[in-house]
Amino acid sequence: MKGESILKVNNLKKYFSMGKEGIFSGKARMVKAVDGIDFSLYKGQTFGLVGESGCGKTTTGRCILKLYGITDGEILFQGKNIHSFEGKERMQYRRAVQAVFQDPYGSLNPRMRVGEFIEEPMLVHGIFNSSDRKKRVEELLGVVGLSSDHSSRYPHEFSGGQRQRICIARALSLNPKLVILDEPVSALDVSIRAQILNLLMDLQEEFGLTYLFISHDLSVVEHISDFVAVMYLAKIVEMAPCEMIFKNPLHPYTNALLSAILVPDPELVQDAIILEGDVADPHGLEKGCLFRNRCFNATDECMEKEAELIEVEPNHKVACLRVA
Amino acid sequence: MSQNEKILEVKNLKTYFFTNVGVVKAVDGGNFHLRKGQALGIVGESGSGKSVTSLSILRLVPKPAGRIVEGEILYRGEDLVKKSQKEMREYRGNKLFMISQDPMTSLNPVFTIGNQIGEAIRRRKKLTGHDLKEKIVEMLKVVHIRASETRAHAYPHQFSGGMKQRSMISMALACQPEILIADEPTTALDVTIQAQILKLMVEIREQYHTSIILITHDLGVIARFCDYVLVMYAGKIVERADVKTLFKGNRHPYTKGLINSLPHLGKKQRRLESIKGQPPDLLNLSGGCPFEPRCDYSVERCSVEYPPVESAGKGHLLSCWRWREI
Amino acid sequence: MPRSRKIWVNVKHAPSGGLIILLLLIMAALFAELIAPYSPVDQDITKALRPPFFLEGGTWDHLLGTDELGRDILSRIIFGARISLVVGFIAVAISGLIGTWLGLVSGYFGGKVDSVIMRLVDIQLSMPYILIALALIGALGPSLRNIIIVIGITSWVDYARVVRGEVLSIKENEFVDLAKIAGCSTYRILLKHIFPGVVNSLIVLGTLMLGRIIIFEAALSFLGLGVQPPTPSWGIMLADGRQYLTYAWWLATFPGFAIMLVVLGTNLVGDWLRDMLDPKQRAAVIGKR
Repeated sequence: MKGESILKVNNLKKYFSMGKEGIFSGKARMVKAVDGIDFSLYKGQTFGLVGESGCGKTTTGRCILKLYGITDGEILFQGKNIHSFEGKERMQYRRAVQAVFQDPYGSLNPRMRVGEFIEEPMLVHGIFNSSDRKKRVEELLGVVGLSSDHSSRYPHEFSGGQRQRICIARALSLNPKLVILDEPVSALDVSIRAQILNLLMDLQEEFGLTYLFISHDLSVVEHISDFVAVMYLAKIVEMAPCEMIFKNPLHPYTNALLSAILVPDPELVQDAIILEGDVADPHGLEKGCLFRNRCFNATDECMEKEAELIEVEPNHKVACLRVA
Repeated sequence: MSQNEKILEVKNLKTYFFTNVGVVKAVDGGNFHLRKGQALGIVGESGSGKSVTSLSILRLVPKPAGRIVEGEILYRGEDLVKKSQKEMREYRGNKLFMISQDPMTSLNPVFTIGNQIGEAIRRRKKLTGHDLKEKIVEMLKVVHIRASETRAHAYPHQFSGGMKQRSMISMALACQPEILIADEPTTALDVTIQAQILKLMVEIREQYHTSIILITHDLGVIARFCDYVLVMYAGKIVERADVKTLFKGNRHPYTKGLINSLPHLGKKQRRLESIKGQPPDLLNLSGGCPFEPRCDYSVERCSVEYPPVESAGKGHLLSCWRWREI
Repeated sequence: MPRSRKIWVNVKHAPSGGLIILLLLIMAALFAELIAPYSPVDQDITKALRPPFFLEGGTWDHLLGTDELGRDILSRIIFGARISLVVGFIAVAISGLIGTWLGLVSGYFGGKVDSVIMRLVDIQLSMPYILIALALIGALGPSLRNIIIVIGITSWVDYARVVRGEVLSIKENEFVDLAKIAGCSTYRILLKHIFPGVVNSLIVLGTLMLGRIIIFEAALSFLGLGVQPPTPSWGIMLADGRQYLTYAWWLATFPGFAIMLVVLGTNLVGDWLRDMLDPKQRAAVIGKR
């Protein structure tokens, strides 16, 4: 089932330094946004990265997009370390990896016409002459379900869903291999989400795209993903093919997350596992499992030892001492 | 006082916004009622008029552009539309309370949480000193804020999103309102926190018999929390029913489309059924059904005349020319 | 909407008063030779200190009266407009260029560059501009060219701050990230994505600064640091007229009025531009969604 490996992330760590520990301390306060994660993306597949706010999923995406530098570990694109690229290779990476972000209003430059916006990546990479670029823009607009006379208009004339289509058109303009989708439908009206999700799936099939789908919305992730990783406080706590995670979740956090989803069915009896407390501040949880203070299964061992991500059944990895 | 009496009746509510480029009919003929202890859900997308409905009830429609042009809002028989702002102040924070999506704008950043809850408590009871402190701590415990004694001295910016919302609920409880309006209370919160907040609201309903109007675009929240639901589109209530009927026996094309377009956890489909087209342009509505351009079942009549309200069962009303045939 | 309210909205937001004033200023500056009844340097002691036409002793020959050397006040005011405008526009351009560039760099790159530039701003602001002007003019000598330079290099601070603030908020938008992801060079990002968002604020600021700079010039000339007599600058006219305030008040008052009107005009236009160019404000003004 697995095709060629497009991207491989090894022990990725991204720490941010925020201010100082104390007023007089020389040590900087570290926020560990991503703390050692590993996963691979395969051609033509959708990898869902889920978690709540602060778990590190967005930071992971931004590291892959080289919007941030990384603190440790490596990101390999088709076998080569992306931070070792120079000149031409750098530009090639930019052609191969694109993104669609959450906010359709912030994603478009309000002073640029739509056609110019979609055309920009082509212009920057020097492919096509002016008239070929225009043709390609019209082609792309058609592919995402907009009309070619939209290209001379400005963003404010479009709705949220249409703006996302414009962003998708731009992302496709260079025939990328990998598209990072960071909450692409979360800011859209419910009735529009289905349209955009269908569009993304059609495009994936047509162009053989690989997606990294970052979201907090598990129903959407289940619908679109082949493989899923659940993140909590900068680490991956569970990772498995989509059906396996949703049918047989093993990590207590995954269980809580799934049970918290409100299924739009009033007759379904749901026993939600209500977690106490808020998404934790990792400070003060230096030793042991980061989830232990909210976990309904925690034991003394969990206070001391941190669990490794171990394969407990084929393809299914979990980081929990109680499960291993 | 019967358990199921109607405490709020909204009759033919019309709230319009008058702008230089036209009139926006944000709410165009709202008719519904709320019973004691009931959880009423108003579901709709952006521009549906659901938030303006709640603002109308509280008489907080932004002036000068917005105005309630017609209709009655009867709270226990008293028409709130006819009240002056001074009279409304007696109702707000007392009988009617609202919590909104972003508690950061409702909480005063310069005062501690305890201070603000204390203010809410003092509206009802004249407590001071030690008694007041005790009551504040009690209110924080009710909403499951741990270490309430120390937390009472915290400022809003030190609280997380979930805790801020819980503080708002605590304030609401301190006021013991009869009607609590919650406008997208959990939209900005993480899923696990959302579960906490909703559980809390369920507890409140059970314990204090507060009626709750829950406004949201999230159908999952509606399904799990509400008894009765109104579906709004472009200012009109297109369908209303008890929650089971709405999800299993809906007859309006918009409601159908909306529910069918949701990815269902556990039921993976190849393609989602989507509603075609774009959200309505409120400045350019035809005189007919606003959903017509996106409706798979529309006929000519739909774009010309708005369908009357018809009954499809007990407590199930909708406006659609073709609902019987669909 | 009731008609009376509609009219009020339009009047409140019409800059017509301001635009008219600025137009008059530009006309005066461009066509001074054609408009002014006399040359600004023509002296005639016999006609000294004539009052304006509406007072006793005044004539229609000299509408606003004459000064202590018999020069026509109105003509001097008209020619003075040229000085004010020249200084105004050039100084705005110089300070705008310096300030915008520093603000862009400071806001976009942040870090050390930002710190250094902001410290420069602080240092500049902590020194009273009169002292700086005194020092620089002392070194360079008073002249039209030199006060333009002095004003230009001390007024950049406002631009830098405003531009930096705008850049910081524009930077937060995803389209800037998307530009990086597409492989855009930093230069292209600044030019095509950041700068266009800053232009509106610059236009508004420039208009408002024009008024301030005209006052600055008048102040420097008043102190004798700027344009030298007999060139008519409104500031010099104020200085000359000071001693005659009690009995020949028109020498200082009319130039003062001129300054006031021009600054009022630029402020009105600047405010209106700010409303029109900010899409959210504009929506409130003309009701667009």
